[in-house]
Amino acid sequence: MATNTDPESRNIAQRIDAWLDDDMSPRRALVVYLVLGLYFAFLLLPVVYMVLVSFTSQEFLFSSELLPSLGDLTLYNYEAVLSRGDFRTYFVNSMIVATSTTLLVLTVGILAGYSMSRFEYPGRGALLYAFLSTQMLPLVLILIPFYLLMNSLNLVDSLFGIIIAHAVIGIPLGTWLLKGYIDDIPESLDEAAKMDGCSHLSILRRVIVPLAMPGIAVSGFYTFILSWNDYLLVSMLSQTAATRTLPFGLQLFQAQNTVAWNLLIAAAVITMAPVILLFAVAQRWVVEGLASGGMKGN
Amino acid sequence: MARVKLDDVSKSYEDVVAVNNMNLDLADGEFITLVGPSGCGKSTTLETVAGLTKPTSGTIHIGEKEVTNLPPKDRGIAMVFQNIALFPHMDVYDNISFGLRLRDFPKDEIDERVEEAAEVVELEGMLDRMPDELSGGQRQRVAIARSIVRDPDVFLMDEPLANLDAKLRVNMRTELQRLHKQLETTIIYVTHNQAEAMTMSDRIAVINGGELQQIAPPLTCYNKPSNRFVAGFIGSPSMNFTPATVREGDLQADGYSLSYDTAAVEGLASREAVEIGIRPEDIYLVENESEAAEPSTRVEVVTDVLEPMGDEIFVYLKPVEAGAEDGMGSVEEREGLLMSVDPATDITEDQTVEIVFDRARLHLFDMENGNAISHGVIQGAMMDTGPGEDEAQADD
Repeated sequence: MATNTDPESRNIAQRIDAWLDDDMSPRRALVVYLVLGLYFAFLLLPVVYMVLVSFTSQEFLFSSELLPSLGDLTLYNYEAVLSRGDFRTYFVNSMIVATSTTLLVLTVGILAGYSMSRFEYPGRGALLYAFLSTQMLPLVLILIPFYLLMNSLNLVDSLFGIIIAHAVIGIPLGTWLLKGYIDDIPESLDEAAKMDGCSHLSILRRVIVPLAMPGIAVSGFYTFILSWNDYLLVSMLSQTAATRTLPFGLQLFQAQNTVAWNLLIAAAVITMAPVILLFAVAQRWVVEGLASGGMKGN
Repeated sequence: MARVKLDDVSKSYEDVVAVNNMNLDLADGEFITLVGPSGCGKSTTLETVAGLTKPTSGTIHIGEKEVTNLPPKDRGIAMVFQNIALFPHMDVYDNISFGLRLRDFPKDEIDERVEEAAEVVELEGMLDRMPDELSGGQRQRVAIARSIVRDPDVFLMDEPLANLDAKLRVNMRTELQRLHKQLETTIIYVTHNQAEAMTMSDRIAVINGGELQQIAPPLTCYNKPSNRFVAGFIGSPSMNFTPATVREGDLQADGYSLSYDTAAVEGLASREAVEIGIRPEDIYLVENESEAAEPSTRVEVVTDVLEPMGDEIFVYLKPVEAGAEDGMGSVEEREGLLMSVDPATDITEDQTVEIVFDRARLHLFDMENGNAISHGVIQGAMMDTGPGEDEAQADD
């Protein structure tokens, strides 16, 4: 009688499990890459197609052709979008808002994360949970009180107000993330730096920040995207064209009855590009296991 | 180089007393080891000297200066950590020079000092490597170079060899001794490994439950332990302990009696009971009786488990069956003795043998507080304590 370990007697699920668990199997690699390939094709194909058709005319978009020929390609859409002064203003505003928000969130997050990771003080735990609880409420719920607060502080319709609003949303999660990364840096490194003559701020600058770069990159990237893509807070706080940002700018290409799809797609690509570029820069730190090497056993 | 002095240093964490009234006085250039079981307070003591932990009470002097409230950087100390604690984002040169760069030393001097330190720990040619490109021993040497480059008055080492494999640990032990000889700097070394403590130190401070049990040269701690804890902690395998009733001229232990010299152990007769301590190497088979300085009367025992170690055999002994009738419990319930014998000895398990104890090396401890009463129970054959006598003993 066959036992449970006999391949013939196991059910299909068990056999697939055993087959996939074999790390050395080329079949396993094939399956894994095939699944990943399909997944990324599903995710990336629309993006790639969007970039491709952003170089075509409105006529092509409404034609029955799926793929443009070389002759269909044109830079007209980008020229038209970028020549609009209001779109350029929105782009600059978005850059100012997202960059400033990211810097503000990282500055506060690194200091708060370091403090919560390394120092014991009353209310530390409560503060951490308070930070977490802010993430539990949908943004729309706090929209009206938030507007009233910003109005009373005279921060409506100013880029500074939008930066503060985005930072308020970004700081709690940024702090949580950074505290987690700093927790993973052994305290003996702080102590070694202290023995060598570092102050707390000097430890932060010379030891913690370089070693927490993967966490800083993730927090920074997350915050930048949050701020760059935000429509809700900007639509509430921005009252004039001078303080609008790119997600708002996409509306420029939609009239009541018509949509300039070719321009809208080109504008969407321009809107998307900085985030992709930022990720290209940040991923170097994200994948780098900087904290390994100096400690025992590594 | 500097003298280090701890006066009544205590450290408490809420309800837990980690260090209790610690008094230590280290001579200039001395190598002292704080040894004790995990959680005994030895690392906390070191941290108070380092300035990483502030004592709850007491004062610390390094040299002539009181440093109790000074930050670590102003104490003239350097520390090597258990987990090495190299900065993983800096190469060897930057790791070693970190402290000098912080103090704004001129570049030329930094280069010169780093090269000197690298030479001392034999790391020349590796200055541009990253920590993860080094072996465990090399990393430990970088950590040591990082300490010596600042030319500190005192080195603090917190179990620096704990994470190295056995062979490397022995090599590094020798290297540390060589380094101490070369630099002649005061070293405070923390370990729970008594072999490290015994082989490297000028004196060892045995700590238990946050309290100093004994501070003395290694051989003194071994031959004249101040109490039962030190006796049991120092020496591997551990000392045998057995309670005994005191009678005029002899001690009645589990199934055997040992005579003592009343003149050698004053006041023993006034006690009702004591705890006898005897090291495994001070128990002899009767055929080797002549090796004992003052052999006791013969005791019949049965061998239990044998553990051949190569250079010796550990023999676990149990009382003979007849002894079970003496009202002291069954053979299984009673704690046996451990003896070490020469590997050439012809001995098997479950063999009835006769043994003798070396009465010159018998230790007696107070039953209640564990303090040592006597080391040796025969006048004129009292235990040799080696070149250094006790310099301080803690009162219990």
